[in-house]
Amino acid sequence: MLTRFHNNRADLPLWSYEIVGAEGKRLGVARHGYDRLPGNLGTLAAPYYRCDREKVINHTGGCVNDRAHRVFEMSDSGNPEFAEVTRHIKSALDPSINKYTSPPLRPGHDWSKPEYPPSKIWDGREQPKTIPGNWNVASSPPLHKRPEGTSSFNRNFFSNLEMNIDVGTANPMRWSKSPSTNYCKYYFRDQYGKDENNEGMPWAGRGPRSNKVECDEYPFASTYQGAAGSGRGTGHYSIRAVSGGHNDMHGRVLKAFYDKYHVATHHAFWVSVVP
Amino acid sequence: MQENYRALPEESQWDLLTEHGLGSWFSCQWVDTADSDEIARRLGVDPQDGVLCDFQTAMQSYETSPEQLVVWVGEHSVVWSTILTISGVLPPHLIEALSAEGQRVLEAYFVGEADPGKLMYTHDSEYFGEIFPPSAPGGWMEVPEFEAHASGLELIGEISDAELFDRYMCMAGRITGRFIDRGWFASTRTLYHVPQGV
Repeated sequence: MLTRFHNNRADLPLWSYEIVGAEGKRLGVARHGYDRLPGNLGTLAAPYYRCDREKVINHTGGCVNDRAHRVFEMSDSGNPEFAEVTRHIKSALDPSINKYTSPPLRPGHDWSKPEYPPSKIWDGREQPKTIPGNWNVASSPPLHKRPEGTSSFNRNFFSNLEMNIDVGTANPMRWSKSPSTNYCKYYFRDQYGKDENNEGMPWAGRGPRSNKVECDEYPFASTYQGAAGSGRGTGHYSIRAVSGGHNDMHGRVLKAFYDKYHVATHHAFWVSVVP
Repeated sequence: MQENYRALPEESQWDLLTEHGLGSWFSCQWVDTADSDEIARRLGVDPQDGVLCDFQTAMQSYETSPEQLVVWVGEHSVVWSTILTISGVLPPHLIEALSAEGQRVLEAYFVGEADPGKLMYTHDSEYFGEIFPPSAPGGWMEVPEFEAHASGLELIGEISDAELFDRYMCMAGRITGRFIDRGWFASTRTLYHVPQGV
């Protein structure tokens, strides 16, 4: 990082001075020092770094190259500790197969009423989903991070809600709202234990802690591209029942990515699944 | 505090966590044993390898890396010990080890960016489910044996993630006989680096 000029090593403070040209175009970050670069290159040659004085995520201070693309990389084979999540994301990002992900996207479904999930019975009308954030596809738009602590805005479109299932069939069910009520228990019934509560919803029952299953979602609930869409819900997302241990580890690694690369509210980033 | 089904903490549990730098992620286990050395052994570390330290010293290792497991272990109440995860993730097989031979383990877990929070219960190596207050008095709970501890904490109406996790912490406090308090953060406990692959 270019922070030194004529031995003025400490001349770049921990905050940004935006340099904006006469036409309003951002030119870079101002250098604060006693000397200037020669000619008119003084500001143009300044580094494109964003330096944070305030707390970003849980890091205070520090600089990142604001013009670099942020990419969260997951390896199919290199990250066995959250491989189930990686495989889910890989399926969600693949338009040739993501019509098989849950919940199914069908024409005419009202996603603004998440308490009525689309039937898990396939009827041939399922459509491919447009799911963003794939670094390996040039045309794929990025994800944008939501403010910390607001991910439930997305999650409430598939979890912690009342669910009215298979309405209009011979076996409709109504599951009450609770922190453990979610779409995965409907679409991935076999992944859960045999025990059901008095409303027919599967619950943990007794078993090894390692068998705990959780409901993973992509795009991440911590982004504006999650299940809530613009606020009225969208079918362009995917959920899958995965190992709780994998889900926990992936969540922590994602958080570490946000921290390390200073991904704050509205910042763009992509994901990349590599072999 | 004796086990009191209706007790409430003097201070908001959530506010205490955020004040002490644990608001972006928090992972804590309670084990119903007063023997901290036994906890260390079940985690796969030699009790002699731990370093006695205060909370501030332990937090110098905070979130070193998701892959590096660092825990701060010590007394919680008369019959419960506590394991505060400083860095990394305590994997499920270690929870099973901690709960073996009839021990009870509560786990509170929260990651601001990825997990809205949960309180889980494992007993005698068997996972029983998530502990949460019902949506109405007498409503369904995944772990009904803690129904009495949910009194007054019911999840009625819109509740923020912070408020929800505060109620989980209240339930943990009622079950273990002690809420998180300033004395809890002022304690001296033992810091362990748990090796990978244990």
